[in-house]
Amino acid sequence: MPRVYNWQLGREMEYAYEGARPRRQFAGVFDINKCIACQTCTIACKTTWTSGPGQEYMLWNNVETKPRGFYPVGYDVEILSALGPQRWDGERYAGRTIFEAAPEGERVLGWRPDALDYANPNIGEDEIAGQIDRGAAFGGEHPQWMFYLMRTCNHCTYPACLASCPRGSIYKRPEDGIVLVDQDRCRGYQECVRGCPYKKVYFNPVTGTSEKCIGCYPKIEQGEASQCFAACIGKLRIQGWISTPEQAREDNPIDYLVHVRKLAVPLMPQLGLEPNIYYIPPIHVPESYLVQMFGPRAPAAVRAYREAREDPVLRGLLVLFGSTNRIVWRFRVQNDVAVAYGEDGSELVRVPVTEPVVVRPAMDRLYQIRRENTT
Amino acid sequence: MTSMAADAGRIIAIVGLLACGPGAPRREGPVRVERATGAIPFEEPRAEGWDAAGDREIDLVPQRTVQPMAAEGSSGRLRVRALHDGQWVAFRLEWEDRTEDAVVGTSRFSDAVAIQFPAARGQQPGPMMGHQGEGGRVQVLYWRAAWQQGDPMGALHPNRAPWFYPSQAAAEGEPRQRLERLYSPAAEVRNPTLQRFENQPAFRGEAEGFGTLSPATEPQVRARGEYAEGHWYVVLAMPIGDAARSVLAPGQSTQVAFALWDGSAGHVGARKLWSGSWLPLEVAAGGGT
Ligand code: SF4
Ligand code: SF4
Repeated sequence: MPRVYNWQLGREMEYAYEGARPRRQFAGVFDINKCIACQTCTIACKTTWTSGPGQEYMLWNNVETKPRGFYPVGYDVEILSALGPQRWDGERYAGRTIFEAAPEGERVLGWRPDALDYANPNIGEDEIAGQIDRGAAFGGEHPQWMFYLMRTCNHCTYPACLASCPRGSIYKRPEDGIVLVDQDRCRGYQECVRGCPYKKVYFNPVTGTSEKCIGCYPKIEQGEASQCFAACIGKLRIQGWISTPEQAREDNPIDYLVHVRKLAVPLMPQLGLEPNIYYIPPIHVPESYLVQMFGPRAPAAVRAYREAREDPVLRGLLVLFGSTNRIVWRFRVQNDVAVAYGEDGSELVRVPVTEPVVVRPAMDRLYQIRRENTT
Repeated sequence: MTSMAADAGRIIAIVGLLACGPGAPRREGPVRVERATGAIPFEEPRAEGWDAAGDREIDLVPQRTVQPMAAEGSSGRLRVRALHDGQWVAFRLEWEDRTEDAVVGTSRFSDAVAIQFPAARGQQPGPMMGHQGEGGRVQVLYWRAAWQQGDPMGALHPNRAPWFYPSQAAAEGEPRQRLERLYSPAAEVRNPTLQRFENQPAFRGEAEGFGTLSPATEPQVRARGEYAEGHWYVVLAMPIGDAARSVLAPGQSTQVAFALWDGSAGHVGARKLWSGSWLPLEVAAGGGT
């Protein structure tokens, strides 16, 4: 089996095909700490792409409550238990990926979800990790925790969906790394549904084919951000292109967050897919859980995020999240102003890092009205 | 002899007749396509007309050569009868299957069966979808139980709640169809499994190696399956075509292989039971009607 280099594991690994990185890789960073689970992203995607017969419970973007929520049910615990306990040696993965752990006769270690696993897309919503003892009081730190996890296809560098398809019906676009199911070639074998550990390929029983997130490629081709990025109420998403660590550029917002400042980390990197959606992990969650879900870099990412307010560049970049509907190719923070640039170097948006504070007097003299504070 | 012993004797006699009497299928020799004396009962897989056809039983084993593989341990047995009328060759396939899997859904797979021949005379393609043979393509007739289902969502979720689709808000006719196509990319790009010949529950394809099955240039196919008493009975037929060139022309000898999918066993695609190697196939002489 060919060997490829997965930088998230710090080592080579087995994969079904020779490694061939795209010219540019679709990527995004999501700041988990800002999500309010409004599901605007979910609906923006659903109304755009999956509103037909056979797509009723198909959510290419979903937002689930962790640790007790999931869509489809148990997708993460299923694959983590199938893989069994694994080990990181510092930032080098010493365990087995789902490609290396594939049983005989299979290309990846996978499992088949049931249709009903998709029937409660927000199961576990707002549930916390454990019981709160009777009489417990807030002492500055919450005794229990939960967070919202927004998920789309990761347009992985080494997609398990693609590796699983015996017909070669799934391909990764060389121009942007977006992973697509060819709707003409697909025969609905559902090997991709079985193989993707993030369960981001879905079977459509009406067309008899498997369908997945297309990264809004018609928008990407115009330099526009994908629907779920552009619609985010929490302004917690930024879209761009990621380089490999050795080619990271300081003025590329994704590179800066992932490689330079190491603020954003991938979801379950140990599975070996090199997913390209990165998360700023939640700051209030036990380390052991963070490491299991986001790999060994997560605790340092939390520390870096906590210190971000002291850092003018990082603060500036964080205010650029959700400030433009276009893909951010470069950014610059200077004199307390953050600026985003597009592909041709033109300015996309300019945002003050520190918002001007306006104090409105309670009494509006013009209208002779007293303002009520309603919040 | 007591009456019980007499009964037992009768039972043994019946069992003996079933095992090796004229009704038992042959387990050796070629698959024979007999010349039909009357009309071929294309639409009636259980019609008596099939009894006149040559009857051959074939053992099937799990596909364990390429990934993904069928689970070890399963096996199958296919009873094959075949007729031609000078215009069409029709196979009637029968097998035992305790579960009728006639819908597809997430991780729910359909029962299905396929027949494979070389695509052209004088070619020796490999028996595994034409892979690594001495060259040449294979042609495949494939029937899928779920394709007999007119309303896949209704069959899958009979008690589902009413759903509103944006297309329903559009005016009937072209505006609505346009919206429907928007949310059905496979239909929009005319996926061959959705563009089946006369909406038959079957597909006629050609292949030259694993994962290369694509629509045949001649799409004509007829198929009908019926499930009864724990058995599938399926008719799968194709026209003989140009008698001067067809591998299935009357009087020709060629090769045939079979594959079977049990949906409940998770069989789909390469996860299947198959005859493993080619079997000889003989088409009885006798021209068109
Ligand atoms: S997340 Fe799943 S569907 Fe998306 S590219 Fe990776 S393996 Fe494929
Ligand atoms: S739109 Fe943004 S804030 Fe709302 S659920 Fe989605 S990711 Fe969270």
